[in-house]
Amino acid sequence: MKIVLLTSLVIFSCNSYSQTHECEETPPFAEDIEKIQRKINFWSASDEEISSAFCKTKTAPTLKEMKAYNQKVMKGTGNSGVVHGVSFANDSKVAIATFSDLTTYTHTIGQMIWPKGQTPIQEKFEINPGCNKVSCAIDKIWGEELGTRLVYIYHKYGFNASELAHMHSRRFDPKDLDEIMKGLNDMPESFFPIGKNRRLARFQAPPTAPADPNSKVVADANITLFDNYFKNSDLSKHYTIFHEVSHNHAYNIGKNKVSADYDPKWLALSGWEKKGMDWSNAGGGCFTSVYGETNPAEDWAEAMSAYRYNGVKFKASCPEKYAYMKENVFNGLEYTSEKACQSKP
Amino acid sequence: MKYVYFLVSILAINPALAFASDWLSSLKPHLPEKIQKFEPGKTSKADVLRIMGEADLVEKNKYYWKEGEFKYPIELSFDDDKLVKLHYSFQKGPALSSIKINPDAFKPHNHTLMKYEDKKGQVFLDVRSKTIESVTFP
Repeated sequence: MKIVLLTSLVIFSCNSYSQTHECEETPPFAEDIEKIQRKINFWSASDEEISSAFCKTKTAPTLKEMKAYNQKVMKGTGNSGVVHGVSFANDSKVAIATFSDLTTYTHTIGQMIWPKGQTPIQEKFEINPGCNKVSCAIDKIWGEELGTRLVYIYHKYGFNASELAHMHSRRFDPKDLDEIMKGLNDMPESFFPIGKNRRLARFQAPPTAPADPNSKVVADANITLFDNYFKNSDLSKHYTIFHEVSHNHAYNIGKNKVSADYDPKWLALSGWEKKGMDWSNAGGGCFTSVYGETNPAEDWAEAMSAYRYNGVKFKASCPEKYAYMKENVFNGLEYTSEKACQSKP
Repeated sequence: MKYVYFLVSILAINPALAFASDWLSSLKPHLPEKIQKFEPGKTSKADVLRIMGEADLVEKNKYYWKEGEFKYPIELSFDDDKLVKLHYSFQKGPALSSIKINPDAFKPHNHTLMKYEDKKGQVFLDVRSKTIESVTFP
């Protein structure tokens, strides 16, 4: 009898995001029902769902488009300067500042300048006397393909992806940055730049502490992409980037310096409470993924990801949380149809 | 003079030591005024309750207080009649740069936080904002 009831409940239960309070019928076996209804997956969207998401970014900007953008942003002459031993003459102020940020070594924590790890740029890359312009110096260090992408990402999105600028980081491939841009472009354009000179690093294990081969960590909100990230599918990479940047966006849109994922209204939606270092929720919250149940910050990043990559499902399953995201984060823009996400709210 | 040379040498070898003794005193002024003077191991439960008023939640030896709608940034633990542990979660934490902690000493804690720990307590850093998220001492 129990099996029959459970089977019928699977058929008639709320969809995969649903929580008990949204079901119309009173469940006869509360514990079993809860297990069935908590059929939320670890993440808010599968590769298949990401692939079929409305207005999904399919391509990265072309080299020509990025070059045109970079030239426009760094246009100008009349400035000179010396950056890590490299002399520049008659270049734009923005270009020289860009070069400085891309080549100045910073600590992982707090992104503070950390002279101990600074690469002697002129000595290592022998930029002068052959080059005295920033664009030429960048090509000399990274080559045209990678250098153009680094400058574009720095200005367009506010991320510094240079390996010379971060502790424990190594060089990205141009293809890596294309996938990152696809994830970034899945966000509304108004979210960018996310800040100025924000860290975006490909992790390199320090010699004193080799990377744990059993680690399952893919990325963090700092933003560091670990080896596991690179083993994932391109669609999963877009999702990871979206998720991590969502953490940063929460901080950006917070009011009175309180990150939006700590806002009392957000906490109240899922009944989040903190005791010491432990977050718990009251049990009535509607979550878009198992990972979202970890704490309010993950709840936020997973809800933003569900909104973008699984909008129809999210709207039907967690209407209150969906409405909160629509109003407070996406400014009315929805991803529930091609028409909806192409409209300007 | 020998002592000075010794100290300078030690600090050159391990700069973390230069920060270690100061982080708590640099962080305390950022705590709510009411709890700044609480000293685990010294302050009595009666004094805490007199200053804080009735707790919003009590679970065994742990007492919790709300701040506005935020549940529960203040957690105070007691053993008999003495305060033994204090935890405070900031909503608007101070910048890392204003606290005397060597950034090298932070270790990953979870997706969004890093942790510093020594005999005096634990400090959690929000990696997005580069601000202190919470502190526990001792």
